[in-house]
Amino acid sequence: MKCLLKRFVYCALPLSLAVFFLSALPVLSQTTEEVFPPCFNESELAKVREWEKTWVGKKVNAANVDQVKNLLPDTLVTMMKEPARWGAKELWFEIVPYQFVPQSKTVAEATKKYSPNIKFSPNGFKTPWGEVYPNEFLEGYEKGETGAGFPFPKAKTGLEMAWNYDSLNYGDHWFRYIDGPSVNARTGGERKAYQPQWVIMFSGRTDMPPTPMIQPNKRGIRQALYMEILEPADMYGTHHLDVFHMDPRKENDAYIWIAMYRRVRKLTTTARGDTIDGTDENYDDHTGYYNHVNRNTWKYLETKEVIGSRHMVKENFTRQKGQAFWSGQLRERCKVYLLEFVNKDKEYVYSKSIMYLDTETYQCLYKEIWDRQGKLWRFLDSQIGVYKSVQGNQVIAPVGYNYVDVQRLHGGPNAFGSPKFGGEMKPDMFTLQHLQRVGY
Amino acid sequence: MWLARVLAFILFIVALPWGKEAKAYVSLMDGRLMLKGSIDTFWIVRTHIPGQETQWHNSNVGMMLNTIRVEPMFTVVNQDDLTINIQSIFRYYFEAMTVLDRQMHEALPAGNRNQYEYPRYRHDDPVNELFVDVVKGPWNFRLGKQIITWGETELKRTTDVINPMDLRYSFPGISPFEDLKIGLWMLRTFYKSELPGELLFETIFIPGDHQLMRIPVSGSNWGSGLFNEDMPSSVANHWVTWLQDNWKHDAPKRLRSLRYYQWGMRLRGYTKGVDWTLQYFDSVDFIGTAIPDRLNNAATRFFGFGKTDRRFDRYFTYERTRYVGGSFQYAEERWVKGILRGEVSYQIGKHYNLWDPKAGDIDQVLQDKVVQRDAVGYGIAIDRPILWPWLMKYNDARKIDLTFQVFQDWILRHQRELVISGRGKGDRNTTSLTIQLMTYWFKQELTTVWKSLYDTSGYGYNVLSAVYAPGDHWRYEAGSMFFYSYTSWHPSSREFNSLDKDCFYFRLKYEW
Repeated sequence: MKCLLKRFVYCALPLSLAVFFLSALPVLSQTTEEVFPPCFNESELAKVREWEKTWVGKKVNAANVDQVKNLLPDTLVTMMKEPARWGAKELWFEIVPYQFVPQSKTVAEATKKYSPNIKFSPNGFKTPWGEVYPNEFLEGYEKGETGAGFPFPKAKTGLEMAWNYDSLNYGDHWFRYIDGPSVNARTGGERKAYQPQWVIMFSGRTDMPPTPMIQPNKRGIRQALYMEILEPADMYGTHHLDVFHMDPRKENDAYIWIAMYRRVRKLTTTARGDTIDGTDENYDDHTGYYNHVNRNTWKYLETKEVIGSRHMVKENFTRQKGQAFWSGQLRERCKVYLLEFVNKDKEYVYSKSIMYLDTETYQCLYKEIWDRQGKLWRFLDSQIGVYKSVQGNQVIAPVGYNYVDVQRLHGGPNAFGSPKFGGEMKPDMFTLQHLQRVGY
Repeated sequence: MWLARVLAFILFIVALPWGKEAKAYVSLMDGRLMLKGSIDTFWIVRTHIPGQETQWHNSNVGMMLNTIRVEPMFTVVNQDDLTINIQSIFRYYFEAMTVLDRQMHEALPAGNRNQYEYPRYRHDDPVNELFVDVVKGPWNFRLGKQIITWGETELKRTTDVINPMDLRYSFPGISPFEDLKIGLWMLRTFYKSELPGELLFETIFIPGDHQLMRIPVSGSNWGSGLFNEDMPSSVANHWVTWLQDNWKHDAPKRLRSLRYYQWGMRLRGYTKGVDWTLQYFDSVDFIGTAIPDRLNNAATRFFGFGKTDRRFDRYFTYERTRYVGGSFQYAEERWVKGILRGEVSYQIGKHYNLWDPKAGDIDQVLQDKVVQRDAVGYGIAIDRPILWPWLMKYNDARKIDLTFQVFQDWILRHQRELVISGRGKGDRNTTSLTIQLMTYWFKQELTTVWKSLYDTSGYGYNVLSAVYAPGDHWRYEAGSMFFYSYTSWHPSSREFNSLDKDCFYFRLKYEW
């Protein structure tokens, strides 16, 4: 017996430990760039640089957009050729050189730490909105056990890419103003929106202690959003609270405090498909997708080279009154994953959507949306920028975004004002108690 | 002169800087002072004015209410753990129709007319709300004039009983309760606990600020106008006016009598997906209870049943009543696919007068005694978006928001002689059903709403409205309100006031 124990201590145990560490070594020893490599290899980059010699600094508009049409979504090309329909004399953007966007060290560290242990749950389950099938849901996600960072740094399937998108945390806490009008391009009429917004990650945290999850988190919250509406005028004083649970079996809680009624109103999840206050986005849209991953079926279509906005500066946005789509975007060559997703709810307002996910950052650069009749309906052009958080970490986040309704010629050119990442926020702010107290 | 004022007001609205890029609010002093407001004109055009009432109208325009509203919010302190704000809403209005229409002008007694045309019913009426809001750690104190909403339902009030309403200018179907409520001076306190269930404790103390329910002034648009053929209209008109004058005269003197204090508390929590509240409110009734022998005396004098010259210093008392109740909200996504809301209230010891059955059909004669009764009421609401594929082609794929509500109430130990406004003598309980359908069109620039209410006590209404909001500031609203009623004549009942009040209404509003 003693002999066996000795053999185990001297041989088996070190061997087991060595196997464990060696298996984790490829991930643990990788640098940030190895975990999240640039989208172009050396030869590809050389070709891109060559192309940039012709195009960098050039203004792309209706006159020359056909020359780069293979690198743009068809919807955008069509729009740029018909600026008058969008209330503009000219729709244009500028080409800038490709720059690698590395993930922040904190996200990379978390990815290295947690991703080796991520696996799909072999069990499916039913939820109020439909079924989550086996191998769709991350095991332990409902308890926050999946940690933080990207669960699939080498994502291959659409579902894995969607889970990566779900892990974006913008420095754990972020504040910004939604600043932009809802524009009727036919009439030139505008309805302004100005809405401070606070978002906190309860789980999947990488930048601000406690990581990876705020404790206690008895309600099992994934993230929460708090928004105050200052404009439009008839909605002034409205406060909105959105609480997402980690467990998809629990419905998200959405509340609105309406100044006119002085009541906290719970919103039905079914209403999430409705457009928000005359804009061209619904509650699930945001700057890409904003709901539980498993509400959709995801399909990876292809990896494609595009020109997308990844180093946008807010000051470059420009438009005239009545113009429903921004001009002045800074766009660069990059690669995206084309990801098609279909909501499992057969009554959902969209029949399908395609996201263009940046392969380096997993940010959504474009999105095309089809209506229930299968006709192209909405288009999202999102502009990404690189910020520093309060802690000094790099944060990759949208600078602005622009949904348009291509059927009704309507759009919402938004730019985020005063963004602040990693600022102090108390979890108390994201409670019903707070919503009741801020209402007068 | 008056016409010039109205025209000047309309010109002022039309001359506002529409089309200019402007914020929806004004921010001053580095954002410490935010000013928001609106200016609007609200017209009611009646579809029909019955024969006897035509003597009091020169046209079918029943109301032309012009309102300016300013909402300053001043941040006094905004530190980490301490925030002090001053919140306020000031509102000044001018009802022009009783000035422009000489017959309507004559229909209202001078004193009532003055209180009706301007916010002069009470000296602080232009102050809709004004309070200091102090937030320190888990505590929140609000001291000043406030409007409070408890409960979860609309169109009928079960647990939302803190503020009385002013029904002289609008109606719950046309305006939200919050535009109809009268602010009360009070101290409201919140304490945000760390206990499970996100418990929020709330208390209210109202030190003697008692206000009456303001019912429509006789002779005004919503006021009594249809008279029993057996009774001279002038007598009925004066009787209602006399009642209104004395309700006001006999009401507790505001803030001068602590005996009429009111207080309440509410606990709000969240348990297993249900938002719930429990509440208690110890109040003084909005509506007076007659001192029977004195009112009988006055009625005798008015209606000529006998001769008496006795006069009294007061005819009504305002009695204490208590409410215990609660409410909930719950998202039921599996079956209902919507939100369930509900509220329940148990009212303790409301005072009632009793008709004297020996007096036959003459309702103005009361028994000598006043009785107390308890009442139970509840309201259930279902909010559910409806998918109507055909319509979605036209309304930007918006769903239709459906709200269906049921209300019921019972008076315990009911008897036919109880004097109860707005319900028949045999109505131990009443049931109300309401339905509301709302959807948006043209990217939410146009909102259409249909509201309908049916009450088993014998009345109901239908409201159809459309609000067009093309930009940041201008709002155009048009609607219709049609009533139905089959109950008998009764001076203070709502069906009496609303019968033949079918109307179209229009609102032009500029807000910033």
